[in-house]
Amino acid sequence: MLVFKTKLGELDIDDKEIIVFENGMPGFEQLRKFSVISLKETLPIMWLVSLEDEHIAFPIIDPWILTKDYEFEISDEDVEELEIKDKEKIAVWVILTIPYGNPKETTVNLLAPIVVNLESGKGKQIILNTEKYTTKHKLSSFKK
Amino acid sequence: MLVLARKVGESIFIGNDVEVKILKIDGGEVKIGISAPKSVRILRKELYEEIMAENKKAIEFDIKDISEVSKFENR
Repeated sequence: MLVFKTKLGELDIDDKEIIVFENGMPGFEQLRKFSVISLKETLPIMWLVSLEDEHIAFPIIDPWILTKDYEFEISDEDVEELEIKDKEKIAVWVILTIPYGNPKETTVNLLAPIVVNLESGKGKQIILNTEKYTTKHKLSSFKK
Repeated sequence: MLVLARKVGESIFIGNDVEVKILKIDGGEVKIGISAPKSVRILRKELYEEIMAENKKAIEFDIKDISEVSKFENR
């Protein structure tokens, strides 16, 4: 167990909870180590926090909470890169963009989901090859 | 940066297994065909840049706004 300084404060992170993004994320290529943090107060929003830069955290959410129809294909190369052997052992989140001081305009990036192999501890933001989704789906459009 | 001129139907090799062929030139637009192994990632640059820009925006939240956002669950 190690203590990391993160945007959400100091966190005790077990080795098993460290997710390695071998190529970082677009715009944050230098950052490799992240962890997904669940805070009771913010659920269902969770947090993808950098363990290397305490200023970086992404609000994320399970896409199927928003829309049951969300689907995408993981390419062979990504399956290989993430060492996915068992489909049941992956987790998927999408990133929320919450405009500062204007949370009603929150959007969801369904075009580039975060895929994590819970077994290998490897993660990646996958860019989907589809026109079905964009980087900016209004969160309010998912409300019933 | 290597700059070279190609005509329609001509191609270049990058390494041993990537071939880039000029298929069609029409005004300001060039149609290119790329043959490459699956392991080679091919991405339109503006798409990568769009994700990059969105990620940079996504870290600019105000933690005080979160409660407002998570409310959507109580529907």
